[in-house]
Amino acid sequence: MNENDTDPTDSERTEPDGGVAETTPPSEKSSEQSLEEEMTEFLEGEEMFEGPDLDIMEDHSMEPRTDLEEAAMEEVANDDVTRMIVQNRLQATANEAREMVMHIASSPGAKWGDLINGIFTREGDMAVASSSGVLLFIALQSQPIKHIMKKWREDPDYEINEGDIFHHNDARYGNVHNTDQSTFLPIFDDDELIAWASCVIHEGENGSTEPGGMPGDAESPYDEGLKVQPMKIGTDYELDEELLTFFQNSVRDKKLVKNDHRARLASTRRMVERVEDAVDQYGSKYVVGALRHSLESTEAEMRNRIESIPDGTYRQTTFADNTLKDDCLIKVPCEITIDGDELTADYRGSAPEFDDRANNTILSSLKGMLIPVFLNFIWPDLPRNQAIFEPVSIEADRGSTLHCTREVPNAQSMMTFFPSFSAMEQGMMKAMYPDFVQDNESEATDIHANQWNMINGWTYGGFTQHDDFVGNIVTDINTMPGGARWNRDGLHSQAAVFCAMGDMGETEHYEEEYPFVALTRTRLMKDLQGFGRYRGGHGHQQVFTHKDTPAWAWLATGIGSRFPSVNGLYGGYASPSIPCGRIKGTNVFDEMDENPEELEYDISELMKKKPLDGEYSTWDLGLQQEFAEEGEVYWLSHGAGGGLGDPLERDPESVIEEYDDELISEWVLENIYHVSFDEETMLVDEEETEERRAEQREQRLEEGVPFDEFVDDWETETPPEDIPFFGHWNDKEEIYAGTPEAVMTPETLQPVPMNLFRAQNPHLFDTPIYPPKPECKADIEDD
Amino acid sequence: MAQSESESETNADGIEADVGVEDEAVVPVTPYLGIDLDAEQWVCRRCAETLEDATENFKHGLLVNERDPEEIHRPLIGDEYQYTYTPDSDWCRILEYYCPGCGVQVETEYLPPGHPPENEIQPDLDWLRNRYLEGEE
Repeated sequence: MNENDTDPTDSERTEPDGGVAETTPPSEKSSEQSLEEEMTEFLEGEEMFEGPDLDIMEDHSMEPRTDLEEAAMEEVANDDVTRMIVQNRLQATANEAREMVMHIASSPGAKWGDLINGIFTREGDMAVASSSGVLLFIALQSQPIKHIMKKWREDPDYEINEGDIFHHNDARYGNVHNTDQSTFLPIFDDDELIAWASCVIHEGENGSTEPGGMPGDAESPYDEGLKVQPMKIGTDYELDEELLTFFQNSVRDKKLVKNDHRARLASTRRMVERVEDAVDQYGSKYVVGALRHSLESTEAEMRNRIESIPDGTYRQTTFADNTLKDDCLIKVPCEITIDGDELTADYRGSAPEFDDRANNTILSSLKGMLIPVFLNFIWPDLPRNQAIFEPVSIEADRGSTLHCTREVPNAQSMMTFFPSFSAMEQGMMKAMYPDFVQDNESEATDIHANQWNMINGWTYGGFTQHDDFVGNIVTDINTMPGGARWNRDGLHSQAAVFCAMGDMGETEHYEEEYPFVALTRTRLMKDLQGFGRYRGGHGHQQVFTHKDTPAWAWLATGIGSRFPSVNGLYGGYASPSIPCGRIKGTNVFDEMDENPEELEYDISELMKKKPLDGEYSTWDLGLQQEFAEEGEVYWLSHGAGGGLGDPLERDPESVIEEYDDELISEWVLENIYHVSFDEETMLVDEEETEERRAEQREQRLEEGVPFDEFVDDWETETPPEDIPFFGHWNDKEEIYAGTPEAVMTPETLQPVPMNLFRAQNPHLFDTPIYPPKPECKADIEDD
Repeated sequence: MAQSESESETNADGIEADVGVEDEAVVPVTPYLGIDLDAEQWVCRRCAETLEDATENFKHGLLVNERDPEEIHRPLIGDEYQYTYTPDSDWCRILEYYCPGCGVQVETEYLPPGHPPENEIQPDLDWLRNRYLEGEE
C-alpha cells in the first residue's frame, strides 16, 4: 500500500514516538469521476510486487537530520565529554556483540571473523560498526532498514514494536550476496524508536543450486537459493517457528539455520539492552546525538582528508578473467577524479551484465566493497561508519556487470567487485603519493601495491563423519597476502581485503567437524611472489583430501588463472596467475600407509614428481561442484600481493635471505633480482651485483622502444578476435560483448546470455563449460 | 595496515631514500617521476631526465619493452598443464616502462595484446603549484 492509499478513517496515524504521522488526506472522490480516472487510480494504487526501491538502493547518502536528531545535537553540543563517553560505549557495545556471536554461532564464517555487528540511526544510517568484522556487510545493512522504515511510513497497518525481529539476505535489497544473512532489531526509548541494532554473518549454506551458498553454477537468480527481502520474522524477541521451519526446509544445513538465527538474535538483543542501559544512564538525546555526531564529524574529516590529495585524474584498470564458468576477459576500469573535497570513482565502460552467470554486481554492493579501501587500507583511524562515503560518488553504466539489474544472478558478485576494489585501491595510491611523501596532511597510513583479492579457499558440500549434511567454506579465504609497501615488503597470508581481522581457523577444529584432511595448509609457495624493490606477500598452499563420508564435493571460487587479478605498482610486478588442481583416481591414504616417505606436500613438487598414481590436472579457479572419491587430492593456493618498485633496487641481502628460506628459487634470484653471492658463505657480492644490475639497466635502454613508436605497432582498434572480451577498449561509448563485432553503447546495454554466446562462438573457448563430474558412487542410506 | 616504526613525518625514507633529484620545483608524483612545475615537464627523479609535457601522459617520455609473461612468472608446477601459475601469453602481455636516461623501471602494465596503455596519473598542475610552491593550504 502506498502513502496515497490511506483509508479516511486512518488519516491520523500514531507513530511509535507518540507523534502524529504525516499522511496524505484521503482522495476526494467525485461522484462524477470518470471510469478512466477510477481505473487509473485503482491501478496506481495496486502494488503487485514490493520490489527494491531504487531511491534507497542507488542513493548512499545520509538521511537529513530528524527533529529528534536536531534536538539531540543541540543537547550534546555543550558536553563533548559525555558525548564521547556514550559514543565509546556504543562502540564497545558493537564490539561485545561481535565477540559474543563469534563464540555462539555455528557457521565457519562466524567462528573465524566473517561477520559484523553495528548500530544504526533511527532512519537507517550505519553509525557504529564493530572494530573488526566485514565492514561492507554492515554498510549494506542500511538499505534493508530503510526499506522497513519506508514500509512502515507508507503502510498504516505495518507496525514496528519493541521486540520485533527483522531479517534479510537478498542483495537486491542491500547486501553482498544471499549467503550473508542479517538480523536487525529496533531500539526504543519507551515508545519512541531511536535506533537499530544489526548483526550480519556469512552463513554459507542457503539452498542454492550448489552447496555452500556461493553458487558459481547459478544461471538465474532462482538458482541462488533462498532470498529473503527485509521482513519481520518474530515478535517479543521470539522467532516465528513456522518461518524458521520454512527457512530450514529451504536449505541443506538445517541445524546451521536454527542455531545462527538464534545466535544473531542473541547478539543483537545484547546490543539493544546495552543501548537501553545507556539511554537510562544518559538519556536518549545523548545516544541519538552520539550517533549523529559521529556521522557528521566523520564526513567533515573525510572531506578534509580528500582535500589534501592533489586534484586530478588517476586511473587503474583490472581484468577479471572468468565468469566462474567461462574463461573470458572482463574489463574493470576505474577512473578516480579528485576535485576539492569530493571524490568520484568512475567505472563506466565495464562489461555488460551476464544473463546466466553469477558474477554480476548490484551497484550498492560495489559501493559497499569500496568502503574498505578507505577504512581498512587508507584511513583505518576514521570512525567506522557510512559517512566516509558522503563525499564519494560512484558511477557505473546501468545494465553493466557492475550495476546489474534484478533479474540476473549476483551470488558471485565478488568476481567483479573484488577487481573493482583493487582498481580503486591502487588508483588511490597514485593519487595520494605526492601528499604522502611530503607532509602527509591526509594522514594516510601507507602507500602500497594491491593486496591479493580473491577468496582462494575450498568450498565443500556433503555428509560429515557425524552424518550431518553441510555446505560451507574453509576460512582460508581470510588470509589474502598483502601488497608491498613504500618502505617494506608485503605480509604473507595477511588478511582478506574485506575483513582485516579474520582468521583462517584451526585445522584440527575443521578436521573434527568435517571429513576432510588438510595435507598442507600453512606452507608458503616458492616463487609465488609479486616481485619488486619491496615484494608482495606470498599466498599459502591448501592441499586437501577427504575420508569417511558417503558423498563429498569440492568447489572453488576465483579469477586470475590466465590474467593476474592484482597489479604491481611503480615498477613492481603483479601476482602470478593462480590455478587450482586435483589428482583424481587415486587414494592418498593408501600411499600414506604404504610409502609415506614418497609423498610430497608441496604443490609444485606434487605436480612435478607425481608421487601418486592418478590423473593430474589443473583448472581455473572457477570450479563448480565436483564430487570426489575418498583420498583424491584437491589443491589451490592464494595468489601474491603486488610488488612495488623496480626489482633491481631490491636489497640483495633480502634476496639471499629469501633464497635461503626457500621463498624464491635460484632462477628468480638470477633473472629477476640479479644478485651475485657466495654459495658457501651466502654472502652477497655487492660489487658484482651492482655490475650485473647496471648491465640490466643498459640492456633495458637497448631493448626499450620509445612509447609513441611502440604504440604505433602495439595498439589495435578493437579487442583481439580470439579472446572473448567484454567491456570498452578505447572508448567508453563502445562496449564490446565478446567479439569485435558485438558492440553496445551504455544506453543500449543488453544482458549477455553466455550459454548462447558459447554455442555461437565455440572457437573462443578451449575449456569445457563444466569440469568433468564423475557420477557419485556413494551409497546413501535412507534415514 | 600498521604504521611503520621508521616512518618519519615526511615519509622520506623507504623508496624515497634513493631519490637523486633535489629541486623544490620538482614535486614527487611517484617514486620515480616528478613534475617540474617551473618547466611543466615530467622528469625522472633518479636521474633528472626531462621526459614529457606535464599535461600529457608521462608514458610518452618513456621507453617500453613488451615482455612475454613467461619471462617473469615462470611455470611453478612444470609446463605440461593448462594452468601453470604463468599468465596466458595469448591473453596477457607485460609492458615495462623505463626511464630513457637511467633505465630505472618506472612502471609495469599488464594488458591484453593491443590494448591501449592507460594514462594513469594526471594531477592538476595549478593545485600542485598552489600547494607546494606557494604554500596554500
